[in-house]
Amino acid sequence: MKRILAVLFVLVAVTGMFAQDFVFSNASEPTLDPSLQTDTASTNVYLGLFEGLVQYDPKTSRAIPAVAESWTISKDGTVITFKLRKNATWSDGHPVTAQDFVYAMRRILDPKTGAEYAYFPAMVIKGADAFNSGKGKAEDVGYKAIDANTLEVSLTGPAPYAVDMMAHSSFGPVPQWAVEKFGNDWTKPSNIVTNGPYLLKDWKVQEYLLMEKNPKYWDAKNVKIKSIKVLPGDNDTTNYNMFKNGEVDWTHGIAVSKIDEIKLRKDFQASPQVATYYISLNIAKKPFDDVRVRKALAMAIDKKAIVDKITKAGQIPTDAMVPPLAGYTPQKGAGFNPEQAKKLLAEAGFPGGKGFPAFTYIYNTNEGHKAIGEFIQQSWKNVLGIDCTLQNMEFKTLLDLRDKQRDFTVSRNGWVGDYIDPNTMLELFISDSGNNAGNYKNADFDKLIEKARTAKVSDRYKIFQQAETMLLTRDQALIPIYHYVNLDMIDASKWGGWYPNPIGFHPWKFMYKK
Amino acid sequence: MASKTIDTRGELINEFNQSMKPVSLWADAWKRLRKNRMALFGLWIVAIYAFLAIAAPVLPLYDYTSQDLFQANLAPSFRPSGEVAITKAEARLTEIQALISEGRDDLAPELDKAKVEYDLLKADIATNPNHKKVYILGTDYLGRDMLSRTIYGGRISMLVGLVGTITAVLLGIIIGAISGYAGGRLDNFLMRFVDIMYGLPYMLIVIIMMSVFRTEGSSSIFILFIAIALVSWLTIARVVRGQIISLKNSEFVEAARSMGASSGRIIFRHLLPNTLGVIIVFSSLSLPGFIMSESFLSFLGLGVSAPDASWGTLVSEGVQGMELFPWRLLVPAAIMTLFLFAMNFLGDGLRDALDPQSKNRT
Repeated sequence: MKRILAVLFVLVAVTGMFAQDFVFSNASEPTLDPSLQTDTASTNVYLGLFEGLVQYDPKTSRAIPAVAESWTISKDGTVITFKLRKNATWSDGHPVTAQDFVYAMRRILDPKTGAEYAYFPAMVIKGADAFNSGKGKAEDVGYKAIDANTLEVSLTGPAPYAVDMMAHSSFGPVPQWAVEKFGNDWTKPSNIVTNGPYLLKDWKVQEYLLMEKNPKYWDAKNVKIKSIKVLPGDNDTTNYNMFKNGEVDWTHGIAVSKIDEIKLRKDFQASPQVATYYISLNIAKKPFDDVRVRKALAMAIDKKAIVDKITKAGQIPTDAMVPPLAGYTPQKGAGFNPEQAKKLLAEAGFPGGKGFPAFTYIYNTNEGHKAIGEFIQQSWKNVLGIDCTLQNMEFKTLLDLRDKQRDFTVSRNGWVGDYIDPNTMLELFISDSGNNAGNYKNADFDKLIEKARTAKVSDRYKIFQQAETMLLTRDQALIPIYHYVNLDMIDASKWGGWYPNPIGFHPWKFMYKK
Repeated sequence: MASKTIDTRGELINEFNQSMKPVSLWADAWKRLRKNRMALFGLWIVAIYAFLAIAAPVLPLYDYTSQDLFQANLAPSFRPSGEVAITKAEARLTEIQALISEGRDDLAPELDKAKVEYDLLKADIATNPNHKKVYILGTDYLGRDMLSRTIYGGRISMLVGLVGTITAVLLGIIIGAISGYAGGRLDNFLMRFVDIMYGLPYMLIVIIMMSVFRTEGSSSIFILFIAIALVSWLTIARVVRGQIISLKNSEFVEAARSMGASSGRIIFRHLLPNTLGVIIVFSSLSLPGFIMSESFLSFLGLGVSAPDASWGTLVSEGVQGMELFPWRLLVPAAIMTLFLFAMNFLGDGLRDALDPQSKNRT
């Protein structure tokens, strides 16, 4: 018995020595193919395995050089020429060339790929939208490889945020030869070819994903952490307990019910995020087509109470869709005003809520969404005398019902911006947007967003403010509740190179142990 | 064999010339149930629960849907809720101050916030009569009374259990008895139908039903009842059929038949009373089962929807904050467990009491 124990002890000690340097609890299982990624969990892994033209700055989330060592923007702001570094290579030895980016761009835009995030590059790249919707040709997409190390990108207009957008995985490179050889299986650990600071070492679905430092990476000498274990933990309470026990070094799943305790910890990090929690109202349904009804519903909700007493993690109550950005003043919709709410509802033909049709408020199963839903349900009942039923469902069902079928009346919604610009929050509400769940259709609004795309930098924010005034102050197409904050647990006295930032992505190559 | 005669007054007389009162099955069962202490305890508990559930609207309870965020997550106490809330806010202030004095200067804004909250609470207590309420079982995350939520939750849970059991027993008995007594083709047909129903995945049926019959603005509890009723009778139908088959060739059935009793009379007067023991055990055990499956469905979003609650939803809400607010889990869990225990004791006692085979055991 003693001998067995001794052997066990040695085994534990030995495996302990080879343990991973850093353990990260991701929110769910990632998708590895950069063109098919849709969620932050995938982007977190993308930032380790792949590297785009530019990289998120760990502090500001703005673009900094990555595969591209420099770029120049033409005078009218519509053409960007990237100079690619010569020493960037794929894990199988191929050099990373401009052609890889052209191929990846055509692949994500190709309607046959069916990439959900194709709309993202399609917003700024010339000819991309036409090709993606089946009307244009791949050759007309504004991505041209001048030579192996020069890439010329043509934009639809002088979008100053275009370079920042390119740090996103939908602009990432894809190895054409690997995709052609293995088809959909090219992302399997045995087949995958990557170009990022880390290599995919092992992936056991529902257990862990292991990344190891890539010795061939052009900047390998500055990559400090040797290996990273990514756990697919989707239970916030488990994540928090593992963090407390030291089994996890970084987690961004925060258990709402423990927030009072978590807030007082040294390793808790909260920072403002370009993101909004809001309620979608289906404008195509009666009586929600009446702006007075929508305003009354908005005025009945005390958003400050939700933030102070339910979510409690420092979220910012809001009446606007766009969070405050440098130089941009958000335009507000209706604020908390029970008396005015009653008056408006009476004017709309439902005095005291009489005759208001029964409707359902849907949300994805989550303790926080439930508490907020119950609070809003009670507010509408107390202030307006309106009855609504709450129904929770699995997240994918909610997305399908709300965004695809649009078969709902009122739904919980949330949007996390992909870059720091009002456009990322407002373009959701253009008439044909796939995320315009509330069916807001306003040709003037569409025109303003379109105009901002090609407008001079100095005028853009003014145009966006006009658009937001239309969307919220005039039409109250949705009910904003609060702006999210990034919530992370990471011990800043132990790990360096990790900073709270507005987008919430943290490139691995900058992180190190203090 | 004791010989029985009838005396002049028309009373039953045994061989020792003592008069014998005819004892009905139920009176006999009750006599034996009273002797079983655990069963009696179970009966009392179930009776108290049933009373609370039925009388809930007239009992002096706080509204189970009324929220007050100032009173969220208060611990059970006999003091007015305002005092409890103030004590809690003060404890928070001292906790933060202690941390700051240990050198955590980064918490200064948190302290300011807590102070503002504290002042707001004080101002609210001065004007809001809500703070005079006493929550003996504490409050939940939106400041709702746990006592009234647990009682109203019990109403729904017990209703689900009851509806499920009643439909299961009625349908199961009828189909099982007909199938077993008739035999042959009808039996074959009915049992193959049961087999097919068994083969269908229960949860999938419920989920499909819920999405097909989803109506805007109405609670889904009635669809839940239908869904439960649809599949709950299968097991009991098979059990009853087996019992009937084993009994249908006995002498007493033969006797009844020879005296010209109809099939219906034979089944319901002679055969079914002999299977009661099995049926009662099954129902008393399946009632907790229905309560459990309702709580599972509620968790998936297919059961009761807020602000209504069932024991299942209360427990799953309580689990979320069990380390910081244990009463939110313990109160509904303990009350639900007690009920399930009582149901099991009562069912066990009823089985002993009603079983015709154990009639002469006393």
